[in-house]
Amino acid sequence: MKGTKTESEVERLRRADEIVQSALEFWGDEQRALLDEACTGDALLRAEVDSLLNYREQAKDFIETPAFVFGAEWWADGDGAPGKVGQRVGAYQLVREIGHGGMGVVYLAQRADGEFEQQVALKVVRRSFADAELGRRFRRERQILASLNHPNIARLLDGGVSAEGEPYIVMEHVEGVRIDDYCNAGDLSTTARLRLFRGVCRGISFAHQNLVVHRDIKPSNILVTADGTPKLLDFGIAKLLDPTQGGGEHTRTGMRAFTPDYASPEQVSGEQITTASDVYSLGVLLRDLLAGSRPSMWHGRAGPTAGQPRWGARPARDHAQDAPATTALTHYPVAETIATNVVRETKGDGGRTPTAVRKFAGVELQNIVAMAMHDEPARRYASAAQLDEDIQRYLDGRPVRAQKDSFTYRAGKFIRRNRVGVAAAGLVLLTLVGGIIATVWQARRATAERDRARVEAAKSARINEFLQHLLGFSQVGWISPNPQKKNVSTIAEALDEASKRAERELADQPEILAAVQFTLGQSYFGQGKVDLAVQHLRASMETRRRILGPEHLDTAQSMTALAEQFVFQGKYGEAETLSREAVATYRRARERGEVNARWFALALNVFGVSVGYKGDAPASEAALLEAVQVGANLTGQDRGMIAVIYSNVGIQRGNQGDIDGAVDYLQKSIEEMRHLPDKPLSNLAINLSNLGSFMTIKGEYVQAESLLREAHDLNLQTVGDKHLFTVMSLIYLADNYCEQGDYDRAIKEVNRALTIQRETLQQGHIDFARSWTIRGKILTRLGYLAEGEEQLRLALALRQKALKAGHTAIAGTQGALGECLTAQGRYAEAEPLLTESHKTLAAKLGANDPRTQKANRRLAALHQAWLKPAPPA
Amino acid sequence: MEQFSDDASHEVTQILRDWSGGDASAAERLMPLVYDELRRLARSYLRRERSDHTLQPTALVNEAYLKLVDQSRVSWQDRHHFFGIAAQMMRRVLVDHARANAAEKRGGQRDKVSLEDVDVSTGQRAAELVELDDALQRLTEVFPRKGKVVELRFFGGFSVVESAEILGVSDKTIMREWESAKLWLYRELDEGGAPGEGNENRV
Repeated sequence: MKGTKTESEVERLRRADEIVQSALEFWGDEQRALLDEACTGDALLRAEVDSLLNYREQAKDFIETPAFVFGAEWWADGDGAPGKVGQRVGAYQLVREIGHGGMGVVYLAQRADGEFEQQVALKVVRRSFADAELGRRFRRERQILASLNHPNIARLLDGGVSAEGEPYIVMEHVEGVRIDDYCNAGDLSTTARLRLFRGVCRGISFAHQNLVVHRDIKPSNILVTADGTPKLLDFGIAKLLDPTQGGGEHTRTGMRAFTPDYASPEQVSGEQITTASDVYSLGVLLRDLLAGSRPSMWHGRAGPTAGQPRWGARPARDHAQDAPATTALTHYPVAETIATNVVRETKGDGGRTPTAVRKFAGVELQNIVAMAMHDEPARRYASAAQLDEDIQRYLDGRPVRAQKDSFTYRAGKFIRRNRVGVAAAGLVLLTLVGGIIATVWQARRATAERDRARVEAAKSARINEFLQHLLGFSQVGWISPNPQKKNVSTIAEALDEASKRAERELADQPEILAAVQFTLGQSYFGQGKVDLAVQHLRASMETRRRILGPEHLDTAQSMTALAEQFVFQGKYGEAETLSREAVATYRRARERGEVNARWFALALNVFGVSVGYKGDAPASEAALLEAVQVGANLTGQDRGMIAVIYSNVGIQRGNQGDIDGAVDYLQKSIEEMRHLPDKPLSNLAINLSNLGSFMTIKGEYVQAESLLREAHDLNLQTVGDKHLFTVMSLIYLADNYCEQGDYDRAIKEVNRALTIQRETLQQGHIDFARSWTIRGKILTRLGYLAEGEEQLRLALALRQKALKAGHTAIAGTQGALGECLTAQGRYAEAEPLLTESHKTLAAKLGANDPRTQKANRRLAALHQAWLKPAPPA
Repeated sequence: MEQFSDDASHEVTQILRDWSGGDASAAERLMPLVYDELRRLARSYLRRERSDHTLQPTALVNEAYLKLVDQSRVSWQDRHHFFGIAAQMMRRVLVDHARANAAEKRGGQRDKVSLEDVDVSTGQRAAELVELDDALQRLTEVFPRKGKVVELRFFGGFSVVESAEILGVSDKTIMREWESAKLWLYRELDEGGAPGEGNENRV
């Protein structure tokens, strides 16, 4: 900006400001539309407006902390004690000044009596910090402090009061670099930073075991030595200098010395200080180390104002439901930087680690930070040791603890501002059901791998020879966990050819024909051709039943595989019947001592899913948990089965209103998958997808959207654009956009999904109901009420036909339809629908489930509208 | 409060009353008194000479108010005048101090950032505050009310509701002015600001 401005310039700035102020109430398309209109024909004006709004995210926390808070250091700093170099303090000669901080000046010193050569750091405490009690406190504490003998802690050696009456403290002298400078100067990787940080945790943890709280953990108190060891300085000093530390008192207010950026909320507000305060400060340290730079004074979580809502003075705890669970990572740039760093660093592995996994790693680290920095001490890590363990877990690639609570943190203001008043319950339920379907297929993948090996050697050789000959591959592509899109046509053609020739050439060898048909059936499914899969599996099953008998395990295997396909076709009754029979066969086999854990578990899984789909949640969960038991000893790639079942249990939990349980199980599932020898990318996509749909239910739209986008990308990479999983992720995304109020994108995605469904699904397939429901909901919100109603009625009819009465999916569509009718003023028609919807959801999911609450809001909206005088006709 | 001279209390109270009575010079006369008191309080708070400090600027301003003003003699409006001036003076106190601090760092030890320089961030923060002050100056030229809002919120530490009362506008207006001012200032700092004295502090 220039110093002087012309009048027209000023005029433009004012106009731009008006537009910016109005635009601040909107996001995304709405905002763009507003800007397009307001700035029509004035490019300069638009440029000015855009250049301001560009900073919206970055400036989020800017100057939100009062300036005074930042000034704290300078005041204490400005009138440092006069130089004392050369003087003697106690038994020590001061060699030179090392530094000065808020509490006093630190000197390099050595014993004046020459008793030891050792150089020490001697801190002369600013007189204003000292008080009459210091000497007494010091004597009390020094025993404990001096016993803190740990490689990551600079030892306290001595202390006393100088001849001038100034208290001083003598510590081990550490030659090293501040931990943050060390990380940044060396451009350390995230992994290296985490290892370093673990050293800090160990030191803190050791001290906590000795009942010493540091209370002032910050980068300037941690030096890294030449051999890369982090050392904590000033242990317990903060407490020592706290005049409120009377002997035996319970109150521990730590107001005296702390650093606003690093102090926990309870420290800032003068409440009791415990080890949890250190855990908090460790969280801040971790965040800053991972984000790669110290936040500028204008940014980041800002000391004493932390936990306060941005527009008021009341502390967050007074109205917890409005405030995010933690303020730790509401600052987008920091959270994003962590994720970006992780993603960037893991790129060097030749692209083997998919973006989704890399991003997930970033999310895990954010979760760790968020948990450490939780506003509520009780919800942080219980100890520094636990935090340390979680980082170890992360480094080992095991599941981290810090996830359960983590998805609430990012929603923040954005979501609150964009939340649509009434949100639908319908689609979400459907998506969950979709998730179940999808995860059956996951089992299929995991087991398909072993099918070759399972068939007796001779048969196996014959079959493989036959197929390989036909298909012209040495490696049979359909069993690969990550089918390549580009091969689709080749493989499809080859399968068709194989199918024809098998019937012709193997007619006289029915057992081998059945095995080949079984393999072909699975392969067809790998290509997304469910109908052909069913055809081959049915043939295989019938042949085996005929020649091997219904009790034969091969027959049960075909049955299980076929049942699974029926699930995909939406024929749950048939799926249930077949899988029930297969399960019974496996049970009897087990009694005879013949155990095939893999297939038994799969049959139980299919059965659990079938009955779950029909709405019998308890039976479903029982079967799934039994499947986990049956498959408990599976190893290697077969663990994929367990991953699948976890995933299904999670979905079942979600269907019963236990969303946190759902999230837990899905994350367990993702973890299992990560440790499979062949990482099943599609399966991961499905899990991400399901997790995303739960996040949508929870109202964590931003988190959900990024999970869903990842899932969709991963699906495109692995199964291609026509596959039902890809369609599923599109529908999830549409639902998410709809909930966010972004109807343009929502309708676009759902239309895309429907187009593909029309190409790939049989008429009357239950999956249509899912797309119709969401589409109807969007149309309603957009004001196309007649069209919305038509769509929703179609969806409802389909669901009522295919599903058991009282299914939550039906309730979902009823809710959406009720909303549509309410909007049309047809209250009397809406009421029974909304009432039933609410009743069903409350019974199935409990009163506190977000979906039940949505149904409740819809009902309330209806009653409110009804009470008003009817609009003139 | 008893430890402060009744004279000062009387003087400030009288100035506030003059102000409400239409005396245009009142604000000018009030400033040095409030400045001195705030600086004194800030120093004492921040040097931890007090056991009850809370590190909140509003506490400072309130304490200054209690000391300087005889509440039985002033009106609601006088109080708002006082707080407006107090925020402005907090700004001066802090920025003056930051300028001195930044200059000191620039004059000597800051060039060589040694490993032992425990407090490297101090000088940087001071310089940033000076820059922000300059940017705020430029903002105020075009948008006087935004400047006021930033002064109240950032320097005075007042909440939205309090700021709204002081300026006699709605909460919503404060929020909108504040949000847009933040964008504006952030851009100024991000783009390096205008060539001026503030910039020289950036080494």
